[in-house]
Amino acid sequence: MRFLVVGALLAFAALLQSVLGPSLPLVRGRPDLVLVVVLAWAMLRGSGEGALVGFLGGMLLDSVTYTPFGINTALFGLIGYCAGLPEVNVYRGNLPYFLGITALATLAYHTVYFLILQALGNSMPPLIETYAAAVPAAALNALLVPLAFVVCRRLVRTLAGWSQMRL
Amino acid sequence: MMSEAPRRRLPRWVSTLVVVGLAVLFLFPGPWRDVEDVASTALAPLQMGFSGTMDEAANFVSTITRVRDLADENAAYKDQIDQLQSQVVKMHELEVENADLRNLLSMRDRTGPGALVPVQVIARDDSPYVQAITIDHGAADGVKQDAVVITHQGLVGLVEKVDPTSSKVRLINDLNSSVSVRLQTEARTTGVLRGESQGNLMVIDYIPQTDVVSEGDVVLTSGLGGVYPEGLVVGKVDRIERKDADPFQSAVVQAAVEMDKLERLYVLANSGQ
Repeated sequence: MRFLVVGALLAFAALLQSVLGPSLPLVRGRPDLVLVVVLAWAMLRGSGEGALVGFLGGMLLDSVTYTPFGINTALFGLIGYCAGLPEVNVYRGNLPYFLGITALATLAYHTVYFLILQALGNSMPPLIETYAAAVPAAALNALLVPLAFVVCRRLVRTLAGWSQMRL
Repeated sequence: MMSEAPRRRLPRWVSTLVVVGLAVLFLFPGPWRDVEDVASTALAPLQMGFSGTMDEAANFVSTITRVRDLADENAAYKDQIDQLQSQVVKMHELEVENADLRNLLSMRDRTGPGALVPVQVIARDDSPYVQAITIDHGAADGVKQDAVVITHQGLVGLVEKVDPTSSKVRLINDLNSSVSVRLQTEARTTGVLRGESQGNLMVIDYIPQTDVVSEGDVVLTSGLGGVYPEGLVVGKVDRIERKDADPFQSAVVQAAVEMDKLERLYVLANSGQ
């Protein structure tokens, strides 16, 4: 049940990112909403669920975007796993660490994404242009991740409450 | 037991005086006219003020009693305004659609026989690496791989992934897109146009220095390679980049279609595999 709900949340984020993202009149970088949800879930539930949710989110994003299928699936799975490695206690009450990991994960995601596309033979813009988009995206993701964390935590608690009632 | 007080009567002369006064008033009105004038002059302002106050009071009362009617009327007017505004919007949309259809008719002449499938953009990839869109028609609607996507303004891109109900289109301003083009110049210069992934700009490299190319020259598809039909408008030369030591020059091209404002698109049904 928990994974169905987070799947729906990821699908919503993927659709929002692909439909509304390009029309946001913000800075050059756009928030990576699916990545934000994956990071929040990984920080809340640990590396196992982080990897699974990352895998699911990446797959959804790959299906609605143009880039070769599998890149986001693999990357988000890996990021979800890594972001969930520290215990949830490390994140709790440590906002700079929480935001720093998000920004770092975003920059790592964009860098590896760039390198994979280049390795696949795509013509790529200069790396500096990638960072011109990745740095604002990292900042926006860091701003959004606390909100996603709160939403995910509430979802987890609500679902836990339901399963207790059923028992 | 108290006795009732005797009722006091007016003296008889008073009633006589009143009767005589009234008779004089009716029989000889002249002198009284002056008295009337003076009184009416003095009272007129008061009368006007009183009358105004009374009117206002009457209006106030009538307004209070009509508040509900006025509210209903107000709501009706608001409805009418909303309807009119929506009609204006609809008319504007129809106007745009009409212009679009007219352009489509002239475009059909250029693209030759074959159906133009109208499609809508449902999502967009807008990153430094990829310029692509997703359209709402797929294999089930007859869209084929490598089908050409256009608007009435010119070339948009190529269908590169076909799903059953949607397709992904690589835009011509994508870094990995290449289009064989010809410039409408005397030299009929041909070249390969590449995207720049930045706004509406693209570039044609390796144009010989001997070819005269100038700003504003129209860029069309050349038909070479067989992917794009010949003669579709791609854009206009925005600027020329040349170095004396280099045997070639480059032309930066502004796309005819505004890639960030794609709305009504058409897939050339007879293109693609």
